[in-house]
Amino acid sequence: MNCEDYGVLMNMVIDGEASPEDEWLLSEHLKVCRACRDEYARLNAVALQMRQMQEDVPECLHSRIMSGIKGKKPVRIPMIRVKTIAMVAAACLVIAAAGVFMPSMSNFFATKDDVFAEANYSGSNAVDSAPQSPTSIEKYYAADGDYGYIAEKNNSDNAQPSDDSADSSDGSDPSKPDKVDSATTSGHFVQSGVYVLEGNGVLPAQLDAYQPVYLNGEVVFCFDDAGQAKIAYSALVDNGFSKLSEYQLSDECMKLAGQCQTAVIVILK
Amino acid sequence: MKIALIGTDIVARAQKGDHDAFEQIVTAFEKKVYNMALRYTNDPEDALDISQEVFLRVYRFLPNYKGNSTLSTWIYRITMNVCHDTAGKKSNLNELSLDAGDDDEKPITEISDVRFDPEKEFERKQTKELIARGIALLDSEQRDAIIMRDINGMSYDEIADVLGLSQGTVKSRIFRAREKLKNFLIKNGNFFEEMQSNYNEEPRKEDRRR
Repeated sequence: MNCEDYGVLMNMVIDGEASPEDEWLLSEHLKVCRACRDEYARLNAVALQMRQMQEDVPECLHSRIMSGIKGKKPVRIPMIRVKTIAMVAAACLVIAAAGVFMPSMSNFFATKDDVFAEANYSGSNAVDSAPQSPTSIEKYYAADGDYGYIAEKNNSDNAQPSDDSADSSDGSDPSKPDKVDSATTSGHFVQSGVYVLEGNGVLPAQLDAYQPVYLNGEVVFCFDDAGQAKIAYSALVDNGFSKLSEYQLSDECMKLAGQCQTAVIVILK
Repeated sequence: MKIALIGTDIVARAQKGDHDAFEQIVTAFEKKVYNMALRYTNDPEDALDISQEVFLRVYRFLPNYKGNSTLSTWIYRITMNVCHDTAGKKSNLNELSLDAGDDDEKPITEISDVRFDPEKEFERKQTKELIARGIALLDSEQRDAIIMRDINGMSYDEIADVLGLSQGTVKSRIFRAREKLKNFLIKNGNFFEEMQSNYNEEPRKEDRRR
């Protein structure tokens, strides 16, 4: 071990993260290395001072927090299940966005199982294929001139999951009515609070918190378990989505999380 | 209330909108959330706003918390998200942070000391401001890690969980953050000379679980 290696070890010892063997190793080294002894003393001083930086909470904070939630209700954001790995020839962006884009779908949003949308794509030429019944896809234009498609929910109660759409990774029973992703047709499946990007990559079988989504091998976004998307803006720009900005998307995501309204936007590259 | 005392029953009640249960969660976490925000922004007003936003999100999204991670991990993750959002909106965060450290009019909450000594109090405040400036100069990634470690006393495992990193990466970020802070302090003032008397007073390991 060189002195830099001992630097990492010093921090681990300071933080109580080192094993007794490592502590012994460091102490032996410090006996013979004055430079590291000085370094250890300085790092200790920094850590000690840092730990004295904690402040008392201002008295007003607690009441501000509690008054801030008055009249608000917790919301449940259905988690996404991507039923199949659908490869789309042209890179496309599927975004769950606020219902403002699709006011006519208010009835659709009110469905009991909270399924927001289903894009019935399958196969490599899915975008060019006509959507299969009973799912319908409508074209729309967003305010910034981009166009996209709204995929409506398949309302057929008799629809069965296709072989490749079975998803029991969480051990749940897909036939239960409280599962929002139950009884769907094949195709990828998008719900509230989630951005899904599909390109020359592979959609994961199940999207979950902090699971990155790739486009052309680059992480474009992931979302956290509070329903907030993390978007790599540069990745969007590099892939031709220059009209999208991080905060527009993030705000939209938060809005839909709060209102439980969503639509699916597919922006073709 | 201590964080460890937030049981699943309290969480379950809060998930259904029980304000009393939620208030227990707030009481358990508000200090850590506030301090994370304060050290991230170095601005008490921003820290208040961030803390309020964090708990609003916690309240609203609590039904989505399924216990896959600890409640503290989940709340700190949200805290970091809100901190980053705030920093993103303030593109000149570092500049603001450095200014904030020089602004004597900003309300800085001090821990009361029964043995109040004006001179020592002044020195302590200066040291805090210096450290705060040093923290503001860290890379965002290093700042996340060192704040969680030193301000909130979280273990490497917990930090790795919140940030979605390996423990090795956390170690490396903490190492680099302390190195950078140390070099900043060497270049700015006589911090280490003043700290000489404290060299033998190592941070207590049990501080990790404050």
